[in-house]
Amino acid sequence: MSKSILRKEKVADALNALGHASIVYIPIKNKRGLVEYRELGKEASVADIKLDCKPDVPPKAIMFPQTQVLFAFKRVGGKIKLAPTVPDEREKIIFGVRPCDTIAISVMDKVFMGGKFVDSYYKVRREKVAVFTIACDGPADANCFCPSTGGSPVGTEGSDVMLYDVGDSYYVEGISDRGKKLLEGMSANLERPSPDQEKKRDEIIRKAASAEGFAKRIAPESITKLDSSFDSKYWDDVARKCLSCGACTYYCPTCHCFDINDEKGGKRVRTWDSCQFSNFTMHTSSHNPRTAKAQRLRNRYYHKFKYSKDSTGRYLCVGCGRCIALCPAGLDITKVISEVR
Amino acid sequence: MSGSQAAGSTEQGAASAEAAEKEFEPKIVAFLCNWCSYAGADLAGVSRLQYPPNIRIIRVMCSGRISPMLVLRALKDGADGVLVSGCHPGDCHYLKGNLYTRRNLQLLRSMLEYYGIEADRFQMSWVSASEGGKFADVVKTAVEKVRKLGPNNKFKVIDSADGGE
Amino acid sequence: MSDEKIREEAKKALRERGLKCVIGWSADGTPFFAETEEDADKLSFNEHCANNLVTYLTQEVRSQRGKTRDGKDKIVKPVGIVVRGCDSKALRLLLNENILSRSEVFIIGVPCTGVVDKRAGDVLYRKCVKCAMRNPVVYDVLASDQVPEDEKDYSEVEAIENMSPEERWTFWEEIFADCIRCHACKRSCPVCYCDECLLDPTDVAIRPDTTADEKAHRPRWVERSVNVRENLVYHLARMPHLAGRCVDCGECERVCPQRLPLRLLTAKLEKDVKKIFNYEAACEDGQKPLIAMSKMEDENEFIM
Repeated sequence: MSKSILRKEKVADALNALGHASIVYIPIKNKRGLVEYRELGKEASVADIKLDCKPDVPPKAIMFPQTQVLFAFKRVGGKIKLAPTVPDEREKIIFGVRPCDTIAISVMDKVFMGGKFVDSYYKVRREKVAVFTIACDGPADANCFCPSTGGSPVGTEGSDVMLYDVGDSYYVEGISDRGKKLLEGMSANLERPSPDQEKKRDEIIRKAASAEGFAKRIAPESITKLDSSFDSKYWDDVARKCLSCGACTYYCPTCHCFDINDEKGGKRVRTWDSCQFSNFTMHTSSHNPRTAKAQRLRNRYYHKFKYSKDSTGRYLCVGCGRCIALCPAGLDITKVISEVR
Repeated sequence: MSGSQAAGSTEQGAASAEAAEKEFEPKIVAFLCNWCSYAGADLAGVSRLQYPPNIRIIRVMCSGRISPMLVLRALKDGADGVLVSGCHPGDCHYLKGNLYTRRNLQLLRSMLEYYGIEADRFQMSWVSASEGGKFADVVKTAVEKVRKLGPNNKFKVIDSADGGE
Repeated sequence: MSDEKIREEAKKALRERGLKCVIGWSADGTPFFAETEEDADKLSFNEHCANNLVTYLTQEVRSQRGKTRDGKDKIVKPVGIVVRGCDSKALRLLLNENILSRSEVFIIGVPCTGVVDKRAGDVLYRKCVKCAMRNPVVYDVLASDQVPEDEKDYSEVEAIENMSPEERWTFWEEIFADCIRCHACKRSCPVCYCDECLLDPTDVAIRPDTTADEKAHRPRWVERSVNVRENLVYHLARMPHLAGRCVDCGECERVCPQRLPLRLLTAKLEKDVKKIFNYEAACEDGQKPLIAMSKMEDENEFIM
């Protein structure tokens, strides 16, 4: 049953069924009107689920928490004793992720597990997670630009299960083996798709391929301009507006920089860090290669669109547009890249 | 531990809670200025006046040195209460240090209250070098007030087992 | 109408006063730096112009300061700025604190009837619904006619004051559990101008001659960990630094990506300062800072 139909009124039952074996995260609207992922049953109830918009907060913290204790240490009788943290063994499902965020998860996988060195802390969390993606029907909001970064409103990369909104139900498709298995487990709530629903689903995919309706876009030729504009005065002009806060990086589904500190009580803690903070690149020697705001801002754009493309063949931006929506100074990544000179 | 006891029998639970309350000995960080309050504390000691041993004294040159950060840090790191003591207004060795600190810390006290942290966890007093008796009284009152409030649990953080927060 | 006046005055000042630039808003409401008279035609003011530009003003003036090779002070070209009522109060505070000098700035004031929150669906910002600082208080020219002021409204603060301590604690705990400490609040604050901030354990002004010892022993008032406790302390610790300085412009609340109601803190602070010390931040030119003053007759009741 890799292709089936889940009626919208049965979503609650299906989620509860999934919740028996795993922790399920669903997008809900919090008290301040932000849509974010919360744990079903503990912090959220099925009635609050909000699937008709792109969540304001990406699900990255589920796999890569903002604060993570790596281990604890204690001095016992003149010797240092380490206490490792115990990995959470429970299976996790993130339900209702948008394709941009799903792609972001696979981008993060490359960073933390793709190379020679595997980040065990990330891996142990990531491997427990299955992703149920909801395809977008065109741009989810005015800031979306995923087609410009190699994504698509119906992109399946990184998904275990894909859902398409076909009116009164979701057209459900198992992508990975794990996803197919999970679908078997919820077969009680699934039905066979009708030809009409098949047609609707094909229509969504067809529409996505044409990338119509996206107000924001980055032309590939402006990205290639980055090759020759590293020393441009343009970056000073752009950086003037920047406030050096970390909003863009902390809400970015692919930003993955972190800092490690020893904290009070004997804990080694890994926390998110932002390349926009002035001391991000501070060396132990007191030398700081990126003291100016313009250098830091430029680095972010270059990292997203050039360095990663050169080294891994893909952009580090998935076009979710959250940094555009949240920038206190109104900086727009699509505009910045398009106007590079 | 106490949770499971309480579940067993409410009566027993109430009794053990009461016992725990009796046993609770608050830890209070006391910032005393070098010229008046520390000398006052010294005098209390020399005069063999009794006061509760719950305070941990940190001597500073002037109460004007007490930044709100020090108070917050003490509370954050687990002190049940904080006491700041300096010279009486007009007697400051540095003329006005205590007056500055009074302004600063009064606002902090009000903000603490606004947060829902009991204002009595943070107390201030003026004790001169000759007021050994007053110092003993101040400590007694401060300790009693904090004892009534119970342990400062508001700033405790429990890490989840797998380290994520 | 005010757009034309802003442009005209900006052009005139760029021409006659030799300004480095005029900081204003463009028609879409984002900050805009007009360096030439041509640029000045893009300046605008409408209900989408929400940024407090004073933060940028400090940056533009400070970046010019320093010494020349022969040890003389560098020449600082004055910087123009367009300010609303609330912004102008922050600017006056910076002037009072000698962070900027009056000769370094050229101020175009725009009386304001409120700006709208795009993210919340174009409704007025909470701070703008009832505002007692709609008209600029310090300016060289005004771009439009003054508008009537409202009475300052502290009802939201009072509602929290009336809760029980436990309720208050849960109220704030729930709010700060959501803070992710992106530092947008302090970075955007017009009166937070320190190079080094004690609220970020890694944000320390390190020079080549800073010793390893100095770096290692810097107190960590707030840890890098993001949890309710550290977040509470972070937000609580900002307050004493803003006592008698915060003008309640609401920039921190506006920029917060998590939409935390941070003005509930600054408004309370302002209310306390008024009530206890009968002091109001930036209410006159040349005012002394609250914390740098002391009076024998200050309230003493809370002291044993």
